[in-house]
Amino acid sequence: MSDLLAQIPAGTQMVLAFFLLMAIGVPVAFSLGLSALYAMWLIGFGFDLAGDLIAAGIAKYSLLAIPFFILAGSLMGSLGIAERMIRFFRVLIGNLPGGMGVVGTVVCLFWGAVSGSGPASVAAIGPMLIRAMEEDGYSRSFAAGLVATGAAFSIVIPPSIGLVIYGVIAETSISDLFIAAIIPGIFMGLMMLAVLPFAKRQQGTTGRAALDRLSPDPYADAPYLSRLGRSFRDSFWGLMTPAVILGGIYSGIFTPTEAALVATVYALAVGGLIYRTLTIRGLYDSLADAAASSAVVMMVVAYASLFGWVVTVEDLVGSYSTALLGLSDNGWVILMVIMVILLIAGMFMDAVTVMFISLPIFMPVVHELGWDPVWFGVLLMVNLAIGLITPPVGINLYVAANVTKLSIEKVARGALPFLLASLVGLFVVAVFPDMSLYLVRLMGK
Amino acid sequence: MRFILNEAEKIICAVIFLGMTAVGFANVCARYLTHYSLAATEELLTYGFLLLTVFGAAIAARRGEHLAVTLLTDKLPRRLRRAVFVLAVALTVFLLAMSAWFSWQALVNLYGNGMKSYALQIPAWYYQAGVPFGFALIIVRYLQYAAQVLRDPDHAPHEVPDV
Repeated sequence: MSDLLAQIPAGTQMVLAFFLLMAIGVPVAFSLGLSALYAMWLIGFGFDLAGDLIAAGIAKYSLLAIPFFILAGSLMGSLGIAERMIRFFRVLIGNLPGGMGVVGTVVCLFWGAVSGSGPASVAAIGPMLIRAMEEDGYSRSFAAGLVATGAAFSIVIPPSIGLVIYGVIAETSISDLFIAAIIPGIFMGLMMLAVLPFAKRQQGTTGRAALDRLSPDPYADAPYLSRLGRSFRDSFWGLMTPAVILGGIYSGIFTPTEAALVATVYALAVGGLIYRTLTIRGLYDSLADAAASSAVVMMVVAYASLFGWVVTVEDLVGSYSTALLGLSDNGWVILMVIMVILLIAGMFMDAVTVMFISLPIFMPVVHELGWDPVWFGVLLMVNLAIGLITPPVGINLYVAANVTKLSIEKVARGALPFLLASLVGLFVVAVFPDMSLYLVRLMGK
Repeated sequence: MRFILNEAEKIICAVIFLGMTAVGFANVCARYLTHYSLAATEELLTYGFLLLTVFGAAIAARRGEHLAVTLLTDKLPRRLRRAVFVLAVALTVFLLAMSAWFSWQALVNLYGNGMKSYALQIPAWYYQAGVPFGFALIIVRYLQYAAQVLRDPDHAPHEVPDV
């Protein structure tokens, strides 16, 4: 047995150890760290570098956008800014034929435009949206599937933590990535809306009661335009958030990290000066929650830098990317293979881990074949978003199952129509790179 | 006193995070108004981020937020599941202890060679000093969480990070 082990290169053993550790329930970040230490022990050096590698993996200026976008999102939620936004959309589009299904989709996606997050949106806004959809005649599993999917695509819609990390790994402009992801993100939302007419619905009650708990509508009896005007006025500052973030990045005023800082201060200003919902206790909780969430991502980043160091030293990358390139002369075939690998990896691991493990192998292929790294980043993010709603380990399915008390299987079945629509959407984003690149070019970058 | 012991990492994170927001925003304003960027703020922000991450990881450890795949272990019989859980915790604690040790070594190195930080020109070990203790605190919080899971698996926290 030990003879056999000795014949396997240390790098390959590390990859196997990583999957084994993950399978016995060691948190993903720590599985990366442990397998890297194991490989360092095998090759007999690296331990004296480990402390610096961990610190250097975290202390990067461009990654600073992550804690601040998470903090901004957390503040928007706790200060009631998000709640007012939901109220506006409810008034604006609540009476369309799709009813609460349309509202749920749009709210999930708009939420993605203020926060960089995925699964937590399911936990935060999911329960109310799902109840509202149920009251509007949708089945609970369908509603849970919709919210899981909508929240998954919030990792595509800028600001996106995933795109920040991609930008750092692939050494691509994060601003360009944010801009490129806008149209594909909206398109994925449209694909979700296209599913709604096919849903089985019972006669509903328009979901008013449940939505009133989420965000009461004080002007319920007024005529449409007056309600719309009032809810717009109420939610104006919240609705401006994406404009502030993306506008600042577009016009070149802010870097993404600065935009994240501005969004945080903006949320504090709106909550403290305009809505007066800011309390010391609320601020303390938001700071602690955001610090914890950001740390979960950053621990993966930190230990992935140990893992990545071994990958480089052991020259694993070269052999895998050469093998990938050797598969076919046809770029589309290689792209298909990459996307299938990403879909499968996304079923088992979170987006950040998948990127750290796979990008060192894929990026040389991207450059070799002359693909635009910005387009590839957007495509990657759509892929990984789909991974969040595919069993067995779609994290969004778990969260949705948790908040609805349904089994994973039921939620997965509810998400199935959205999964199919998303795969069609993924295909379109892959075949038409201009969808991603048009806005980037328009901005003259 | 009890409040401080229970919430140490939260208080540390809140203070660092708020400080980072203030320093970072001041830099944005300074850059926008005067076109000069303060190099010192970048240094403060990145190293503040390092401490924020390590102590934030302690908050996450206490809440069971670190993402893990429990698909396979959930299928195991109860006894075996507990054994595998204990093994996973032991391995995690081992890694964290090693990380604390490595960070300590890095601290000793920086202290010994007297390296100065790149912008503020203060001793670089100032920034590293909190890191080994942060990792030690993650161990404490992770063990607290694990004890809770073993005692009462149904009511252990299993929160979802905002990622």
